[in-house]
Amino acid sequence: MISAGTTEKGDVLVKIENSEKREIIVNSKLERLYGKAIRATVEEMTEGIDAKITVEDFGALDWVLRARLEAAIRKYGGEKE
Amino acid sequence: MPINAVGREVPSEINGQKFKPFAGDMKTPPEGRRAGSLIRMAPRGRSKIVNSIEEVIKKVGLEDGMTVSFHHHLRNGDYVVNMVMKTIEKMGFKDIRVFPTALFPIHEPLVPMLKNGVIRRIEGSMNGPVGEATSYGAMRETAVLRSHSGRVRAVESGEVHIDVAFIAAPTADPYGNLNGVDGPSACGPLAYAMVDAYHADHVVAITDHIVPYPAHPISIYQHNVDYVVPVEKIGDPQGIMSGTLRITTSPSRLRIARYALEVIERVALKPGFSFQAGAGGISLAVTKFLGDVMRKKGIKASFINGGVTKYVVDMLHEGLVDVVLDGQAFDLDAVKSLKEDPNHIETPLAMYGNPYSSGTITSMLDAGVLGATEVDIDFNVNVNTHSDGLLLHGIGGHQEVAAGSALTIITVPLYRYRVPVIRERVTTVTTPGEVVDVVVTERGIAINPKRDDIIEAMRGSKVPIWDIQDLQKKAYQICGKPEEPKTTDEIIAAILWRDGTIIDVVYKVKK
Amino acid sequence: MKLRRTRLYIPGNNPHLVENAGLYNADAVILDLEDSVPITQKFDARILVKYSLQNVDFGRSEKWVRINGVDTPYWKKDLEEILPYCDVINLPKTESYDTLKLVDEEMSRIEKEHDLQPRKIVPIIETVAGLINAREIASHPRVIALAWGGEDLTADLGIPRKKALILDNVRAEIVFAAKAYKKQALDTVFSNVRDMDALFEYAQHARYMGFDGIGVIHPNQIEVVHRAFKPTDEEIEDAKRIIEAAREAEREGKAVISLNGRMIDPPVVERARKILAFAEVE
Repeated sequence: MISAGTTEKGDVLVKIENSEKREIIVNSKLERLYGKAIRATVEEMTEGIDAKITVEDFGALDWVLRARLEAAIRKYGGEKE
Repeated sequence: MPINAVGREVPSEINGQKFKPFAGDMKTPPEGRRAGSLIRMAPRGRSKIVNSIEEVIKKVGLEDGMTVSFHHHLRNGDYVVNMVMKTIEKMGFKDIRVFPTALFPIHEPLVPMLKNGVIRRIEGSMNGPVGEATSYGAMRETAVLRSHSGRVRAVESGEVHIDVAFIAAPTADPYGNLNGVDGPSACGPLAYAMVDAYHADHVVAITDHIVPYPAHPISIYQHNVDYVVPVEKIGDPQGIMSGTLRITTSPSRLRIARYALEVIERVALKPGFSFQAGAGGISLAVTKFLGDVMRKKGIKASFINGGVTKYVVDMLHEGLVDVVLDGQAFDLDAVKSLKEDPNHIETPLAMYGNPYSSGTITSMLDAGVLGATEVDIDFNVNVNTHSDGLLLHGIGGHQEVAAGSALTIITVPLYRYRVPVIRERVTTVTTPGEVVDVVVTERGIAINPKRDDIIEAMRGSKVPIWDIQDLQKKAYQICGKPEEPKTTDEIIAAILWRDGTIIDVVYKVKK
Repeated sequence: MKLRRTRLYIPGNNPHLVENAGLYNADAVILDLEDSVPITQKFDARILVKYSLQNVDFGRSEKWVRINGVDTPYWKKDLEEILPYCDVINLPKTESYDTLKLVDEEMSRIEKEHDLQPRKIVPIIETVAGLINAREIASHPRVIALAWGGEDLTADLGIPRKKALILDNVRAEIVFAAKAYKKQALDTVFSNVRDMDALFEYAQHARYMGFDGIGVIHPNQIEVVHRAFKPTDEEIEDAKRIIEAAREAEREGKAVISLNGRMIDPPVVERARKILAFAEVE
């Protein structure tokens, strides 16, 4: 499993782990306000990745979520440091 | 259902009681005469001491369906509400209406009583878990929220009749004279409890500090108090007093405070001016900075209305202000000053902001700085619910300070962790835009267009001035447009304006 | 003249601090990928900084990124990700002209690939060797200013920073090197974020040592530093008179500028311009 981001307020922790099938889990305190928006961004950025993707959100803005997703995806793809 | 003056659809009846829709501040004239309490006669004897809460409940003749009241001077350190309500539950009473000035997270034990029938409804501010449970539908009847002064008005007008007032008293003598400035659970004034003491049919003081007769000073007098119940502890000093409140160190909040200060300086600051103080981080910073400016310019204020903290007390003792009017003390410096300084005056809440009275303190204010959970493009303010619809805060004195103060400033960040604070429409209207003058954020300020004088006074200032719509757009641009709260059409709470009209309602939230 | 009185360091992997960095009117914001980012977060930080540069409104602040030093495996990747989106590269541990050549080549390659205007560099002198080579370093065309770092430099010298007596000599070296090439000189950060009086003294000391600005690590320091760098009324009045005299000489086609019978040399006019530049903002 790889991860990107932190659990600080205003940040988001993205985890990607191998899995038989594609699965997306989103946990956010802002579920009621931005649940749809968060899921849409996760779907868009991780399209075609068949893995278990977990997003723990602590009030991150959309660009922060995108940055963390990109970091996680690239690390999952094998990029180092 | 009728549409009120802030465009909200509100019922004309709550819990079987008629209410008028909000028509604008000072637009609904009062009717009738003030309500009275039961006339009673103290038995012969020199002590009103009763040894247990259970015994006193029997003595006052509590019945199912009655109304019991509490005050919140002990804030999140209060043991009395839970102590009394647990006894009421144990004694098997049902359908009680609880009428506190406010509840706090420490009062979470009331949540099961909402469900098991002991409590039919709460009318009062609910900060935290009780409000949240209510949002999900735990309360059988509809909650009614009033501002501090609105609550006074409700009692005086007979809208709410209190059967038994339970008053947490940091100091009491055996014959029922009470004060809040001494004892292990000292809290300062007993301002919130005064109206209950005058108007309840039965008044019970609960204390952990008995002094010889007569207690002095006296905040609540013996002729209004029927019984005195000594208990081991009425509260936890850690939760009653805030400790030394610290001015915010957050740079964005300090910037908000600086902008608010500049508005006050340009619009309200003059010899003999007055302002409302509070205990929030930004409010403390504004108070402190204002003191610095006054010292530099040699300007003295006539009075500060509080929300009293060390910062206010220091200004009093330095001679920057003549008088401090005190309805609530936040730290031990405030308690000590109230006890010792004759220019630090305890004020009954009836004097604070009740529009149905012969005049209020808030009408004499030149400037007031208030917070909010949301503000909208019509300058309407929400302090009760979060943007997801959950009822998590009381009204406090927000309405009367906003309505009374010549300059009303709302200090808020543009957004909090992705949640826009400046919105198209507030989730709940607590205070209408008609009494809000300036919204201050870390990115600049928005001035209510009807206040030409303020717009004029701010000309030439370096504080960025925005159209409120542009601030809202900026917030949405940064955060994205939030989804609407997922609520049902079931009303769980009514928010009353200080005059008793319904300004908004809160709907049940879907789990 | 671009003012660089304050440059605000922001840890590059902290979204909450990054998203508010543009609020405080710092002359420059430095998104840091170096010392404030632990090794395990270098990757995440680089991507976060890239996104922030494209999404956050940094207001009137110049956008700098402090990349990792050329002695680390990170610096090329840092440049690759962030160069297209920032104004200035803040280069730690710059030891020599060769360090700059190395970074310059990499920057040129990326700039060509992305069709970018050439980016600027502010090298940080943090070693004795760097200090000795400061003049050469200042001469590089990408360099717009010289900065220095006290902690590493005193460590390199083997003296405790708090007791070091040599710091003003170091400052003088930095100022001479920078000014010889008409570059700005930037003093190191003041790390006590509570003592605003001491900060004011420090910033004024920097100003009269010949620096154009200092580093700050907390937004609350910015206003104080800008105040410290603001010329006095007397300085402003003098400068205005000098500039007026220069204009008059130009109008009348005179080769020599004179004010109250005193001859004014070109560097004095230049200083007057600078004083007015510092005075006009805020």
